[in-house]
Amino acid sequence: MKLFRQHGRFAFLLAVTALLGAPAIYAGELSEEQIADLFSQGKESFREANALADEDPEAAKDLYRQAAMRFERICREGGIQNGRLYYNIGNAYFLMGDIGHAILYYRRAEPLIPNDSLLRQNLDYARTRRVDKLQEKQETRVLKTLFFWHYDLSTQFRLGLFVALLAIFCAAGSVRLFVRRGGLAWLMGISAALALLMFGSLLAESIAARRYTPGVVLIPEVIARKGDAETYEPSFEEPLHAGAEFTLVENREDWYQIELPNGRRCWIPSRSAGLVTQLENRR
Amino acid sequence: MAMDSTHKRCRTRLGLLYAFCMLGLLAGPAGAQEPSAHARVEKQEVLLGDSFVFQVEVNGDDNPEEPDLSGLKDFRVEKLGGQNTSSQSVTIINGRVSRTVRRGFVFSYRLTPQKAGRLVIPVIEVKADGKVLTTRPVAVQVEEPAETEDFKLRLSLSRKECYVGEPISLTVTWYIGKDVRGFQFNLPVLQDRRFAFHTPEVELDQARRYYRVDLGTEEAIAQKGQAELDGKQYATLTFQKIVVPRQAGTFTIPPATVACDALVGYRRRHNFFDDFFSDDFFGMGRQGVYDRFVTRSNEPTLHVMDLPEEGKPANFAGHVGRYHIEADASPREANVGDPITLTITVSGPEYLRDIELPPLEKQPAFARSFKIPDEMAAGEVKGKKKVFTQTIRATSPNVECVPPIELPYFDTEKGEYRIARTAPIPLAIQETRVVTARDAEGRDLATPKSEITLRREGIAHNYEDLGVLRSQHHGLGAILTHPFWTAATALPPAAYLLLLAVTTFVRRANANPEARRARRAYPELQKALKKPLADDHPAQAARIVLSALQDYLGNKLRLKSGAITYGDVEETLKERGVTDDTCEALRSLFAKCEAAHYAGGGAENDAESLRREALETGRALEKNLK
Repeated sequence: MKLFRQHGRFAFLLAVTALLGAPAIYAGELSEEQIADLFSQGKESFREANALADEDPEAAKDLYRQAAMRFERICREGGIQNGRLYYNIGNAYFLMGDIGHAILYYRRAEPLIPNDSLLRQNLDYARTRRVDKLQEKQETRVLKTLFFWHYDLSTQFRLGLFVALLAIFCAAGSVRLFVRRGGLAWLMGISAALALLMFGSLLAESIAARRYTPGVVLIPEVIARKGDAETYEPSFEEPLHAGAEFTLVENREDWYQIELPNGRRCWIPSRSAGLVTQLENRR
Repeated sequence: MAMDSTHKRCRTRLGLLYAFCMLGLLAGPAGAQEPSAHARVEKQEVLLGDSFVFQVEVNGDDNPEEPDLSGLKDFRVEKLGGQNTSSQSVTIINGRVSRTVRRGFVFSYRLTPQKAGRLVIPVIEVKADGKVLTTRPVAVQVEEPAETEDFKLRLSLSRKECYVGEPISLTVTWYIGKDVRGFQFNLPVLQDRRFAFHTPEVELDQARRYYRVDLGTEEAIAQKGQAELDGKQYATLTFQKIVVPRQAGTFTIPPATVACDALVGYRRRHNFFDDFFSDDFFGMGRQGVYDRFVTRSNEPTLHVMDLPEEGKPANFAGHVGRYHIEADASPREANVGDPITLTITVSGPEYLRDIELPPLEKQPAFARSFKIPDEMAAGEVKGKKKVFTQTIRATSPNVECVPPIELPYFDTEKGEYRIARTAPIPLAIQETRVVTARDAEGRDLATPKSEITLRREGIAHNYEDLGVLRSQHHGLGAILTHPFWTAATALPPAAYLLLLAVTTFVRRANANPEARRARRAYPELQKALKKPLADDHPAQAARIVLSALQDYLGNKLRLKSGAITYGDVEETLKERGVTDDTCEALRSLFAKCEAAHYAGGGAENDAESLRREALETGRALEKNLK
């Protein structure tokens, strides 16, 4: 009887855990079949748009828009976060002529498929098509040269390097417990120093991801202002154009304070831009 | 900023004029509204180069046709839009309701006079309500602006003499000696049909500031800078236009003007609302006072010479200047009919954007040997060169080279016609082969070699596999939660630390064998006394127990084991904290064992009790020994 009571309590706890856990596992509103259907329809629209692009560009645009909307629905309602899906959405927007949304989605894909050469190619090309040419500030360029591994290598690659260096350090340390050789001490020192560099880089990236939110201007033109209202004077002689990338500094009701790659700060209406990482998703 | 200010001022003026029109409408006579048209100007005295608002007001129709202002030759006309000014009112007198509807429309324009003197805006015709309405002529007195020390405007030409069709640059430099709020340039020469104008490409330098200058139908990018003129330092605004004369003669470039609002001083504000509604709310109670300035430029002269007829090549296409031409072809080995990309690079003149190549099919050597498409792709300016690309196809296997491409031009430095030519490009053209089954099998197939060049333009294909629908996670936290990465990160240090701990322990143990001996003393005692002792040989059992005890004490107290007696260890044991009871128990055990061993006594003690006693005493010693 005692055994039964204990087992019954365990079964109850298991049931509660399963019920609480269920929404976390199936976070999306769409079933797997619906997601697969949407994906097929999106692909079909994309193909039809490609076929029509030369003869009837306007109809092709509508079809690209349809494809993008279907892929976006998979992300939004299906709860799918996939770099290659974001990449496809970016392609649809690009072919629609919407450089802002194209760059936004390519940027969203970047952390998920950091080593994807097609993504790199498309993002670079989309960047050449935007109107604003904003040079990075001097300090950023110097930092990118000095700490090239931090900026040029993907998170996964740096983590792999860190693990490999750590393993080398441990292996050399283990051998050195039995064999005393000068070379082993050097190997340990160098691998420890490099592992620390990689670890520092990973830590810095993790902190930066929590602290800074990148974004992209989405509408064709937006006047960047000196304050968070239309009454403030424009910050620049020219408006900002779709595709201009920035880092969010402050979010104040309907306005974003942003920092452009050249270090200049200004305010833009929040409806004119999209954030690469949604604020509510930041951890 | 400058343009904003200009637009703001314009809006203010427009607002006043609309208010005036509306008052006119409301104050007009009641009853049937006769269609009419009126012309109004914002001001009747202006400085040359300054602009003013001109309105054509139509009463009696809210959808008139746009009037034609092409007759206003003395003004530059910019359309500012139109506004419906219709209104209706209802009056009730003694219960009698009367409704009055007034319909109207106002067209607004910004006019900039192009010359000084008394200028007349002629009769303007407007079609409204099926009728042609006319306005009355309006006179405007335009005065020549005087040059001040604070502002100067200079026009300069890159050459004073040139030939028809030769591009030269016109540089406009505005010297600014005061703070200005808005400005408007007026270049009447841009309306002159005897010249063609182009806007040169400006290479933007991030370190400099640039302004977009509205020139009416055109615009230019002006660069801010500093310069000295007549011994005085000025801020400058400079832009260029490319001028191409269309006919010969001596021309005086009409003066350009620039109108601006310049800061002439400050005044204190008188009330809160002045402060509040001013742009300079935080300006310490001061408000800038701006005056309107119009600056007139000099009038440079340009002598344009006609191109001589003598020596003019038959295929001369109007290229004036000094030209160089180069060509390249790829691939250079091809079959008859295969496309060959011909790249032609033209350089020489400073302005290349509108330069075109004479059609290749007009060159007889080309027409004979190649099939050339009718249209050539527009060239692309790359730095100081313009690159044209054309696809050609050899028509026969006898074609041996791309013949020289000729570009006749008039050399303005030598004053004569010359022909720039490319070097012939050798080609190896083969007869088109008939594809056979042998080719299909790939035997003896001579693969044509052509250089593959990567194109950077365009985007790559979509992903269509179902992996696209698998959720991914990113970031350090997400990666580390994967079992592989967790194991890869944690296992090497864990293994290393374990090995380190073991070796440290072993080394420490090996480093002090006496201590190790002491630690192992009691287990050795237990081991020695583990076996049951034979009851029928008490002397032998006592010897084993005694020997085990002596070994234990020797190991524990780090003495030489062997013939240890209780007397040898008593003092040491007491010093190391062994209680008297334990010492007494040990002494008694020693005595029993020695008696049984050496004297054959102790029959009262059986072997098992001796063994148990020895183990208990050993346990007690383990507890007490420090």
